[in-house]
Amino acid sequence: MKPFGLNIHSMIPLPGCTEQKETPDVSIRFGHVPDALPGATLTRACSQECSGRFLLIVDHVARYLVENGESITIQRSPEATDDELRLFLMSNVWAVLLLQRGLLPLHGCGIKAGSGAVVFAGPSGNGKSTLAAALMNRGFPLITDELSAVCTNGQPMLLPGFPQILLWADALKKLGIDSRKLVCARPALLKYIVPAESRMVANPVFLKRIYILSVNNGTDLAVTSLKGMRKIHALIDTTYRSHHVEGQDLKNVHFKQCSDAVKYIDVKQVTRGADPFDIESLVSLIMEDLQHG
Amino acid sequence: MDDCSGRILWLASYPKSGNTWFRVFYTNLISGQEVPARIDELEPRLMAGSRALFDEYAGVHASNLTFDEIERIRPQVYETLAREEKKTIFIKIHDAYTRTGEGVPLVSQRATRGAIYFIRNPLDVAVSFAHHNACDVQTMIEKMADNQYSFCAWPNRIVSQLRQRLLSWSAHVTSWVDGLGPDLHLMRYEDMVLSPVETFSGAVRFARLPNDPKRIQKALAFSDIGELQRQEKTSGFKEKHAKASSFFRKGTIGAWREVLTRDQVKRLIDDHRDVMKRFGYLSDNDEPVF
Repeated sequence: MKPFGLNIHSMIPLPGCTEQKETPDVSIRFGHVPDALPGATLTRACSQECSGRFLLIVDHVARYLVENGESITIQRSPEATDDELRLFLMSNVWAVLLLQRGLLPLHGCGIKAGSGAVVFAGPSGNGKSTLAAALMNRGFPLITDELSAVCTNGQPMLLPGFPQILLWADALKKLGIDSRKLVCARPALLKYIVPAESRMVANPVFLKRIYILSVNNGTDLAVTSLKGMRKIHALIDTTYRSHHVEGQDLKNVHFKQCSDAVKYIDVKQVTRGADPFDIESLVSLIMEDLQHG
Repeated sequence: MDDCSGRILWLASYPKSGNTWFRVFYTNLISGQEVPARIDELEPRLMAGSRALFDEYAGVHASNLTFDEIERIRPQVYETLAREEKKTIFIKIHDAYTRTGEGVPLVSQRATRGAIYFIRNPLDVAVSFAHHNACDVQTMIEKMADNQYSFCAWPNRIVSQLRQRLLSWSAHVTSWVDGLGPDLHLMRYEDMVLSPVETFSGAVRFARLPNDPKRIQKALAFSDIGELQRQEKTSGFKEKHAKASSFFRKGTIGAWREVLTRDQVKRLIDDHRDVMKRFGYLSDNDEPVF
């Protein structure tokens, strides 16, 4: 398989990436990375960026420099593990790389349901990965975890991501998965890497629906269909850290991607109570909605 | 990097001390509408402990960081936010005024303009906080004495808020009052109830909000506990704890007299005597004032 359809040449092994003989689309190497990006137009506490360039600094882990959707340079801290390097590489860093390559990166997990792809999107902590893992356990193939790359030329296609899913200890417990054989994403975090290579799709799948997961202080579960501009805004809001769109000077392109994509897809809002997180009821609701909605 | 200076005005408090009530007043004051503002649309919307706020302004996801790493980055998050906003911003905060591992104040000194600190009789806080958390009062009394007490400090799961270190009730109060110094405006919940016009007007002047007596009177009328209860009963309140039956409960002074046992009162006074005396909650001979 090729994660995100890319030929990746990487000095650090990445899940799902085998050595490619073809010319790489993306090269990842270790090297010197500056501590500031001259000419940065958008700054965050740990990152700086401008069109075509993105610098991320994670103290005691690494500095990452992404350039033109083609190259990533990593300057690692001596104490960082490979898993730690990969964690930030495959999330914030990769999202910018995808943006630079003209893809629409959504903050969400994707599964295949029937012949189409379904994305569960929304802020961190709303249960996206837990829901995707629960459905994967019920036989739905996984397309991607955390970062959903959508190709919006014509009918939107969801690209297969890295073949793994990250789950917190509490989610593993809910799903009946034994954590003892799993590796933590970072030594100090109870967030585990669950390999999913055998349960992944191999090719892009057309995106038919997005569920935006939201949490409130009630107890009721509900699904509502979004229409018109609300669909577009939902896509804009669920873009993986949407400030990168401004940082990479892609606002117009991004708006067109979102407005084109919603012509083909349903966007629905799912609301659930925060506490307790009843995963079984949520799975039943989604499965029923997929069957009838 | 200095263009974030003095932009943030913190609305700081230990929970259940009048912070939300002030936000209702603030929302009505700035809106200037002829009908009460909806309680699900309170300003300021920014919460210091919000995971979404951190993720937006850190440039890296909190879910990939340890609690201590998150705290180390939080001062820079507020500076980034302040730099982008280019005007005074109000942020609600329940964290105590703590310092990161490097000794930097969690609420960036550079980004801070000041703070309004809300304080309430801990005897009443214990009762109200227990109701809010849907737990028994004794549990809350223990937590109020615990210098390690934090919100959302679960290592095994992810929730919408970051870990927030509250410390004990006494340490929370002194951390802010002694930590921030002259840029802090203290508001006692009891003064907000007993002398609302004078007390709220003082905060309006400190925060440089519209200082119009008619507007202040109207905002106070729209912030009446009866109105808040009516709205919560009709449409709910999204900031209520999931397990609590209601958020806007009584809003009174001295409700502890009907709830706390003699031992519980003694325990709270023993735990917080110095701070209670300092802020007028305990007489010289250890009698509760309110």
